Amino acid sequence: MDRLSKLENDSIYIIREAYYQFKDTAALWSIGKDSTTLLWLIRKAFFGEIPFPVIHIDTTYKFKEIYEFREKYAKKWRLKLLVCKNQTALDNGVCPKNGKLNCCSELKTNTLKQAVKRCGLRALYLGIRRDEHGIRAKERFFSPRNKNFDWNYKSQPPELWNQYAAKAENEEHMRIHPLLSWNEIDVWRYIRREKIPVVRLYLASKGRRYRSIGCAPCCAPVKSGAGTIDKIIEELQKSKISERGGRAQDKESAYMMQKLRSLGYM
Amino acid sequence: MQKPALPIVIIGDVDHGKSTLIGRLLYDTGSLPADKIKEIKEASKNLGKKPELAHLLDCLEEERKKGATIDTTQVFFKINNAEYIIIDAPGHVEFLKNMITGASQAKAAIIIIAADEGIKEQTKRHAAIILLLGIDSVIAAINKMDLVNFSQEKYNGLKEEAITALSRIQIKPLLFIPISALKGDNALKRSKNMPWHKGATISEALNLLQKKSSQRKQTLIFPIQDIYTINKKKIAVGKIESGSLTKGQTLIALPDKKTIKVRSIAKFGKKRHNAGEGESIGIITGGAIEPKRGDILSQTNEYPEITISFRATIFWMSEDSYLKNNALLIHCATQQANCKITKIHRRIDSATMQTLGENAEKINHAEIAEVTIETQNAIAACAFKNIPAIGRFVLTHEKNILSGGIITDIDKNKAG
Repeated sequence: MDRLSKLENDSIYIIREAYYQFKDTAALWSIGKDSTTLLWLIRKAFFGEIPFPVIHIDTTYKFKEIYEFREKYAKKWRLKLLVCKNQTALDNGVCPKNGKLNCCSELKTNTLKQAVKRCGLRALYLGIRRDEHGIRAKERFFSPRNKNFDWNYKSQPPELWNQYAAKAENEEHMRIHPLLSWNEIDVWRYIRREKIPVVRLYLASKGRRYRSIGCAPCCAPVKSGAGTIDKIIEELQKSKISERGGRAQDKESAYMMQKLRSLGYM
Repeated sequence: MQKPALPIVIIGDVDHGKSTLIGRLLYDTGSLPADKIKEIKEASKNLGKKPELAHLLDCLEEERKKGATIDTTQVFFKINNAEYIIIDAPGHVEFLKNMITGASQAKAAIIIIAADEGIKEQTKRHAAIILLLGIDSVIAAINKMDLVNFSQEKYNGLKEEAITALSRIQIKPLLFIPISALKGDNALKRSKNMPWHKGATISEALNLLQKKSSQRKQTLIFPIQDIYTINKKKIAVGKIESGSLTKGQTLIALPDKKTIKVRSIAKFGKKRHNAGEGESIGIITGGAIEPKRGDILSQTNEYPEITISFRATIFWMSEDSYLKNNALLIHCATQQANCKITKIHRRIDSATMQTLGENAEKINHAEIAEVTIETQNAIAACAFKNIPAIGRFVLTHEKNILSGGIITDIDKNKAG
């Protein structure tokens, strides 16, 4: 079995294992390439129809191309789409200009906290990968969070072979990470193989493209002539700059990602 | 076709250079993005330390400050188009469960021994655990050769000592390699400082492990994960652990030993004629019974045994001791059954592999034990060496994983 097929089959196993254990669940869809690949795998795991809601945490600062993509594929894939915003924080003027850490934690983390509580979710599927950031390499496939979303990275449950801990107490939920073993280039190769649609910001236009997309004010494009998926794969094979190189929250301080994550950031 | 990457765990004592070797391999293979190198340099400067290769993996703030790995990490790199996943596992005894979590995903291991300290208790404990996890492809690296002036005499002494110590716990490394992870000697490049070493470098040894990664047994093991109703049809889903199945084939469902027929194979909406090892599929069945979660589907002419009692070797990860006959839940593939450990034949110190007690009443944290487990209901099981997928299990209580182990013998007198 080739590498992509092994990754696909293993991810589907994890998705099905999580769904057996947790029915009150949802997938987080940032509309980026990873979480779109995740939705693709979930659709495959359930033979086309995703049996739980798909949540978009909308900071309202996303690129317009992201919103267009969301509307198109939510309809096409018959998703039970839930768009969640932290309206109170937005009304109070929270925005990237007034502090990035606060903006991420209010508009992303707290919005998600509200959604988890409101929907009574016991598990959340996320498309994070180990190679994105050192801190994400420490994650488990099943990773518990308490009611404050704290990630107790100093004492994670053991995970042996394909047996996953299912403990989620009253006020806890489980993060499910089916893409943990994938690399950035695997995701692109899989997108090419499966012909998965992606937001066109990933493709170069006027000599620039986005390698990672999120909120418009906090994402910078990289110089690139890669206007097709083939060219992106070719470019990544040669690249010496990491994927999240254009993401502000990884850079403010060396441990900002760790702090954000232990506070419950995705 | 691109082969899946070979997962390798690196084990050894605290500060013997596990993370440094991984950093060295990433650096020398050019697997590191320039901005990551810059980030490490800045973080090190803030701590008032020199940039360290180990910091590439030890990215938790606490890990860099203490200079020690806390949790397991995986990184990926390529040498000459062969792909590897290197699993870094923490050395400290208090992070044993993190070490086991990392090591359980590996198919081969590198044991690191620092030349200035020699083989330590913790190294032996880790080696014993990887053997327990069923990993038998092992290479040994004597690291920090720069601290002993790249001395061949010193290396030979350490190698002899390690061979003796490891043979006591039944581990025979395929190769020994003198290295300096810090300076790069014999990692990717052959050392100029140790011209006397004619054997493999780490890079050549990895290539050997990739070639050696073994073929598994062909008995069909298809554990059922769940039953979905799609378009009013019931589909039994799961991942084929070994062997293959074909449309129209009659299978046996264990532990009930009822036959079922594969009417069709569904994979992501596509109809398939057959499916093989490693594939996550769904099947629509006919026959005497409907499959359910926990059933193991196998061939009618050759299938694993059904039992309510077996012998196993386990390692106890929980910090709470276990008292004989206390209730536990066993998870073996997708099977689950109430069980208890009815006999503790031998308690073993996981560092020295010395017997701590026989016919014991309890098992303590970080101990290995040879036990008899009795289950309330019959399960399909097999010695690990014959069929790994149903030869390994975890034991839980109130949804906490307390222990993991492998089956050594099925009790034939108590077949289900």
